[in-house]
Amino acid sequence: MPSMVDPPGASDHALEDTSRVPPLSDRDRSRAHTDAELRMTLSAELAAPSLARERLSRWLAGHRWPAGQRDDLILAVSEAVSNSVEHGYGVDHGAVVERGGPVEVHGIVVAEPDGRRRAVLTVVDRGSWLPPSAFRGNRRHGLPLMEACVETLTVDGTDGGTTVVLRSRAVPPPA
Amino acid sequence: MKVRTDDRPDAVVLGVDGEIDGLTAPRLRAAIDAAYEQLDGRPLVVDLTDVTFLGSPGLQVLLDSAREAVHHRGFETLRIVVDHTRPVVRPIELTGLDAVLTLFHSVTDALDG
Repeated sequence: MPSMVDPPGASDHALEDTSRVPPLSDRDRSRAHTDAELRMTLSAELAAPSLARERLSRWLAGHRWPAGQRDDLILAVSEAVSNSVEHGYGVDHGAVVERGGPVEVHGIVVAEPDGRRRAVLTVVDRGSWLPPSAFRGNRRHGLPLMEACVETLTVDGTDGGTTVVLRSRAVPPPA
Repeated sequence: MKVRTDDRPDAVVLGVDGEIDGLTAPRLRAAIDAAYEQLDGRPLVVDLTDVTFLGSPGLQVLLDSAREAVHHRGFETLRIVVDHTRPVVRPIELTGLDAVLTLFHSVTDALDG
């Protein structure tokens, strides 16, 4: 039987590689799975949706989200961030561009009793949301599109800002 | 997002590459408008097979451009090429625009149309 010898430095904490996550117990592994949150704070700029898509895509890939469902969530979050930028803060191509307040995107993965998972994405701005009836032509498809991409969509708008909560369809546990 | 213009004897084909969102959709609209000025009776084909994202601003550009062709310029309708495996078909179908836009699976099909 080969002898097990620790590699040099394995027990030397001063040399510990802080980029490596220590091994998790099974219980911690399942909790860490839902603890791996997405948090983004974006400036209200026309490029914000693109940044949100990119980061969300990586986060979902990290959670082994199925590709088709990933596309739907990316579409929905992109629309929500666009709305925050264009309506919440009034940033548009033709208008004088004033850097608006931040758009915050938060994501968690929630496990269901049967092992399936859902992602819950929240998009928050502190601008002044226009009611859907006031939407200009280029936003007409935004809300219905968001709604079709997720299980549930809630939009909470006040004078102080808007919170959009997107709850995804359930997907299988990671393979 | 990039738009390539292919000026052919039988058609003008705009090849779109990348993401079409609020930031880039106006450039697509400008490219389509420029193409409308030089059609001379040829059909305009917009090829979306290399598009990796299509949001509502892009959908609106496609819809507005299609309407402009027929209702304002008296052209035949805009021909749009989509690849079924891409995340481009999904928003088109979710919004019901597949019943409104004239879609093809390939540029070849669009040119035969």
